[in-house]
Amino acid sequence: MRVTRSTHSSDGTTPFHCVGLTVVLLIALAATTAHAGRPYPFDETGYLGAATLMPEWSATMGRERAQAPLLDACLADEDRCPSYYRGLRRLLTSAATLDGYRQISLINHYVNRKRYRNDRTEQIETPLAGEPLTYRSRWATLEEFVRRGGDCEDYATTKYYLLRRLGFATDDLRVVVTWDGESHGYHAVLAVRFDGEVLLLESDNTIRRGSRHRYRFIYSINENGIWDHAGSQDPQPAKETSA
Amino acid sequence: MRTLIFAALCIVTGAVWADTTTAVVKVYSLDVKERIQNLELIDVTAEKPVDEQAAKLEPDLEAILDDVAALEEAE
Repeated sequence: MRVTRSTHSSDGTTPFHCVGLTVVLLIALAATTAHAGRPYPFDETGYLGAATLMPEWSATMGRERAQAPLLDACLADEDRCPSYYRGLRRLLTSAATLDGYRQISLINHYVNRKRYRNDRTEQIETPLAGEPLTYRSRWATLEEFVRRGGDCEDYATTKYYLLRRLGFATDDLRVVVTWDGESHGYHAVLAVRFDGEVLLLESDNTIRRGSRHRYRFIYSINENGIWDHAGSQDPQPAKETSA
Repeated sequence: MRTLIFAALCIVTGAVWADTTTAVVKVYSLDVKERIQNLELIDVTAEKPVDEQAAKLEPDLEAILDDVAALEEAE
C-alpha cells in the first residue's frame, strides 16, 4: 500500500491558512491595544526635585498642615467637629475598618460625588514672559474642597489627603497631571501603588490598571517631590489649554 | 621658578575648571526651575462625568456614603 504524505489536514486547512490566521489575529490585537497608554511609571524616572520647588503646591501643603489640627480634633471628639466635617468624620471612621482596596474604592466614590466647581483664575506676572496672563488657580486643601468643591486636580488631591489620613504612605501616592488624548485636555488623576499594581483613580468612578488608559503623563507631585514625565512618552500634547 | 610656574598653572586650570562646573550647575538649576514654572502653569480643568460602566460600590460602602451625604446635607 502506498502512503501519500500531504500538508493538507483532514479539514482542508494548510500552513498558509495558519499563517494568515495568525496575521489577522496580530492585526486585531494591535487594533485593540492601539488606544492603550503606557503604564504609569511609579519610580524615580524624571525626578525634578523637592515639592517645595513648586510654589503653589508647596503653599497648599502649608495650608493643609495648618488646617489639619481641626480635623484631628474632630476625629478624636465629635463634639469638636465643625458642621462641615461631620460627614467626613463618619467617612474616615468607617473607612478605617475596611481593607485597603475597599478604602480606595470608597474614597474614590466619595470624592467623585462632590460638586464640580471650575477653578477661579488670577492675573499674575509670569516669571518667564514678564507679561500678565491667565494663571491656573491654586490647589485646594481638604477643608477647602469639602466646603466649596473643586475641579479635577482638586478631586485627585482630595483623594490623596484622605488616603494619607487612612495610613497610605506618601511614597505610594502621586497626583498625576495627564494629557487626555480623547478629550484633548489636561486632566488629573491619583496614582496609588497598591498590592503590586498601580491604580489610577478617576473622577468618573473608574479605577484604571496598567495601560488601560489613553493618557500621556505630564508630571506628578506628592508631598515629597515632583516628577517630569515629558520625554519619556510618545506624542506631544497638541496644545496647552483646558478641556 | 619652575615650581612657581607649575603652581600658577595648576591654580589657573583649577579656577577655569571650577568656573565651568559652576556654570553647568547654574544652567541645570535654571532649566529645572523654568520647567517647574511651566508645569505649574498648565491649566487642569477637565471634567469627567460618572462612567455608568464603572464598577458599582458594594452595598455596605454605598450605605456609608449615604450616611455621609445625609450628614453633609444636614449642615
